[in-house]
Amino acid sequence: MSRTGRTLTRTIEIEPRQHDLFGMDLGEGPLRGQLVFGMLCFAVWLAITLPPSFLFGSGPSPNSALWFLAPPAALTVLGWRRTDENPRRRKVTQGLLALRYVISGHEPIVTMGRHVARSDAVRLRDRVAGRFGKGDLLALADPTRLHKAPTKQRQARPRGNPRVTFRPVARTYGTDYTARVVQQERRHKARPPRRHAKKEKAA
Amino acid sequence: MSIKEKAGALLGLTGDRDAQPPTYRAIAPGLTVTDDAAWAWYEVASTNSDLLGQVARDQEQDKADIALGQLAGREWHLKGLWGHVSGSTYLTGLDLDAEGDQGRIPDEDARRVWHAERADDLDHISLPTKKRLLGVKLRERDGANRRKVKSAFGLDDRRIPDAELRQLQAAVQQLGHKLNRTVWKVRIAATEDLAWSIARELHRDTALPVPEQDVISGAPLHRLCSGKVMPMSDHLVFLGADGRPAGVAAVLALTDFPDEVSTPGQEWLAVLNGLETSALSDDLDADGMPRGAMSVLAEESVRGIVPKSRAALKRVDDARKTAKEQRKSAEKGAAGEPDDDITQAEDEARETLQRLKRRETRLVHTHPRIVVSAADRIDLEAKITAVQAAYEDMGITATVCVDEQRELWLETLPGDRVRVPDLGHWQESSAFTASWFWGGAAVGSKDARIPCIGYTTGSTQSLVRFLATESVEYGDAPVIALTGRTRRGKTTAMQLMLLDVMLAPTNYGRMPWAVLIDSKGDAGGIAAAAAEYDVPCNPLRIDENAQAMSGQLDGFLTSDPDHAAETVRDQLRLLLGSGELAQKGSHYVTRAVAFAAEEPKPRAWKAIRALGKIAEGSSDQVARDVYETLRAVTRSGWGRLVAGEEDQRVEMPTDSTLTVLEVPGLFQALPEAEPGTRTSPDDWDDRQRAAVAVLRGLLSWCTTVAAARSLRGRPKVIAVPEVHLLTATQDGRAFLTQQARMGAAAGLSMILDTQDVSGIASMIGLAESISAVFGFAQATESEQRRLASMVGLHEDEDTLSVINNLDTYVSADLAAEGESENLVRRGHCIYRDRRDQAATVQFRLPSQCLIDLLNTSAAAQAARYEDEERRAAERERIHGDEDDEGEVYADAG
Repeated sequence: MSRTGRTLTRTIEIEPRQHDLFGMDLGEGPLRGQLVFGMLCFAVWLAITLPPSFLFGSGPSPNSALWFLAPPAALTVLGWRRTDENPRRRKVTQGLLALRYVISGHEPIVTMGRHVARSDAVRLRDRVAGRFGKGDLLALADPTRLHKAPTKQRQARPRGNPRVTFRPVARTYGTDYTARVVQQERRHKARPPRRHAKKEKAA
Repeated sequence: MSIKEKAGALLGLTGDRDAQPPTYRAIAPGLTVTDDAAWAWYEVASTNSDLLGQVARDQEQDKADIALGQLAGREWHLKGLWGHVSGSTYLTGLDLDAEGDQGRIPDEDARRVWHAERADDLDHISLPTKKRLLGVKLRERDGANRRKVKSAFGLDDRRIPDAELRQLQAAVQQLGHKLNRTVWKVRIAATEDLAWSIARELHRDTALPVPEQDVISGAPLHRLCSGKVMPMSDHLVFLGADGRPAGVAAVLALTDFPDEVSTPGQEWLAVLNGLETSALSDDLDADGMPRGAMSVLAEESVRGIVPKSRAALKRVDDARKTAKEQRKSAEKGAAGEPDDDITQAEDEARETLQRLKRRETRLVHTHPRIVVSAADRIDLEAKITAVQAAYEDMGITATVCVDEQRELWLETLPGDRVRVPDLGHWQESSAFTASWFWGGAAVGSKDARIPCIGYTTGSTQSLVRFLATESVEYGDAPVIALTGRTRRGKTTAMQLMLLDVMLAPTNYGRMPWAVLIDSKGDAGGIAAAAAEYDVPCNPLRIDENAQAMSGQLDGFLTSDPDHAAETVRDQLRLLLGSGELAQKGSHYVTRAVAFAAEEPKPRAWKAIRALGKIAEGSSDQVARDVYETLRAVTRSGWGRLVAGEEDQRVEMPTDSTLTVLEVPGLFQALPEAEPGTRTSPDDWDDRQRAAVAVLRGLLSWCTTVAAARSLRGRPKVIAVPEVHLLTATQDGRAFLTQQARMGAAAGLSMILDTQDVSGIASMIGLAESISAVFGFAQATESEQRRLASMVGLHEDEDTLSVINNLDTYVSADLAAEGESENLVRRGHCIYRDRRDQAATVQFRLPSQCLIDLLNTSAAAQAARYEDEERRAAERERIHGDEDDEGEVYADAG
């Protein structure tokens, strides 16, 4: 006796293919998502490259077809492949995630959502180097690596805010001083408000 | 769907990746409230699953499938957390300051020392325990935009209104009642547990805030969340309060599951329990020493939803329609026939639809993540490798998601949301419950006031609480059986149980009464241990050869006065034998005992003296023969103990203490009889008859004292090691059965230690009265089967193998493997508690001092005797010196 349950992820998240396009038979056909992505790539690429070619030349020519077609085609074909590390992800997705990490995804989490100061963030060098396991923080988190390279250059500065130290200075006041302060305060209270004083003067 | 969302969906970048971390507003019992949502939290009870038979496991899993139905339509979050058993928490649970009706007992300090030692040991072994929290989303709160608007008008009140809090707590209670009736037996999570679950994620050693009226909010909550997490590309670094890294972690997503998940074999969350890294690593630690194997202690965090049946049907039907459309479209074109994937998907979708309609299954959408934490990167990598290898064996892919560690880590926080939805899975409910997330090893009392005797050694480790008198206190069966081969730790375990009874926190001023009848002579260490821990103890050695023991077990002194004459008469008749002399001389014995009973101080030897007078005045040779025989039998050996003239007799202890009765050789002298048979006293020799008389005297004393008025309401326990020698005799069996049946009524518990499982199992009256069994290793298959049956396990090969290997020593160090083959693991057994839960348990003595004292090995006993002699000599010398000094002073005076 045993119990068996099925995983239906592939069944439910089925990837449809486009077998024909505008009456044209595409055989096995590309994945619909890839098709849309390819069209977007072409559109964006042409939007970037065509205006300059008209501006600085005579527009696209058969000789420059490769320049206009190859990059988006390569991105569509290669970018839609799945990554080796995570077969659920496409290379284009992983690339965008990497870009996102370098730009904003590295933001530290301080006290669950406190505004992060610039000095708190992971340095650009670490963001990039960290991807290859060589960041300073990595060395810092690993005492043995610090052990192997105890030079000052390798010892990264902690990225936390510097420690704040308080040095309270005790002052002593004599009775003369405190008596004078008390007298001043009494005089201050006894004196009428300045605004009234002005009015009186005017009168 | 906006254009941005559509583009995100196309590129696989859906989900709230950029959402703010959860901002906690309040933590209350079973409740976390953030800006966005309110979640109910429950603690899932660990089911004792390690030793379950296949049928029981299947039934349990089916129940879990049904339990999932209670969560239909709700978002839920399952979170596993590893913690350590803390000595201070253990001590707090024992509630040593509680006072009973009779106030504090005199041995208050002794009790504290005893339990503090156990608490120190728990801190020392740092036992990892797993807590499983189940969160269920109750409702959404203000969205980000609404909060902004409210804030603009100065309405952003950060305090949770009392009315809302009450409403939410009512919802928590209501859902808790429903879920408590399921197989998970959830209970509402304590505020402290929830606070701890948040604080520990940040790797900060901050003191948990004390809840005010059970709610943590405001500044204490803010302090609780203080911490800094640096998301690196493939891991996270946690910074301590000093800005230095306090630890690292990585979040793995289970990205690929096999098409079918089966149990046993693919328990994909239970696999995390007891996972260890490879011991063959070349990596060195900070001190330059090899790192060796270490516990991985990876934690699961699974967010999911069980769609309602209509939504599930729609989802699957959409998939079926897409697959069908693909098939038709392919058939129209040059492709001819669709991909196998499409065909398979259509078939599966159709089948699933049918199953859903017949309510044979449910659909579950989950996002499983595994969090691996370590002190440094090298440890982290070793642990990740161990996790990935464990999943690889099951056909599951665990992937460290590069560049998404921040989002995945935030996802694991209580009260957050699914941020990376594209790595989720759709499964049938039985594929999810195959994870067995609620499985583990748990056995013993759940009462925190009951002391701990050891820990479970199964897939999860937890404290094992046991008190020999607890079962009787609850009106349950009174017998505790310890079975197993010799030298496996039974007697030591028994001694530990007795000491626990004497020093139990639940005595509440009632001084317990405990007796250990030691016929082997190896349990003497308990007296020394009792002295060490200030437990009042009466060690008494009843030696057949000692003159001083003459008349020690005289029936008139050991029995209830109303029945004393009968006891003595039976004992004397027994000593007489069962031949012609006994039959003819029986009435002389009766008359003599009657004379003796009328004396001011009745004694058995006075009955023999009276018999002598009767014989003198009688011409009957039989009377003279009876007198001569009894005189001869009671002059030495065992007979002298029951009817010898008392010389320096020590009073048998009757007060509330721990009494250690050492009767060396008594059980061995008893006549053996196969269970279910009776041997005739005609076949016994004089020595055997005398031994039986002594045994009856001893057992009679136990019964009388246990029923004494002065001991009513007190915890009472009789411990008998080597019971297999007793169960081999008719008298022994009769006594055990009688005590087992009547003991509970008198509040008397019995701890029996035997090497013969069959002997106990064959005595129906006794077997029915067993409330707890501690089964140590057995070598023969028949005994293994008997034990399996006694502990309520299925008698299959796996169980027999577990029983056989209970004493196999396992060394953590591979280098010591050769040496470990020669060692025997002691104190490791299968414990079946009174709720019929069974798990493997390791007894643990809390200190080296106690280990030395309770050691039953021959060498330890010899050392102990030497030590006692040395101490006695020392005492004598000191006393001598004092006397000398006294003389000196006297001279001086």
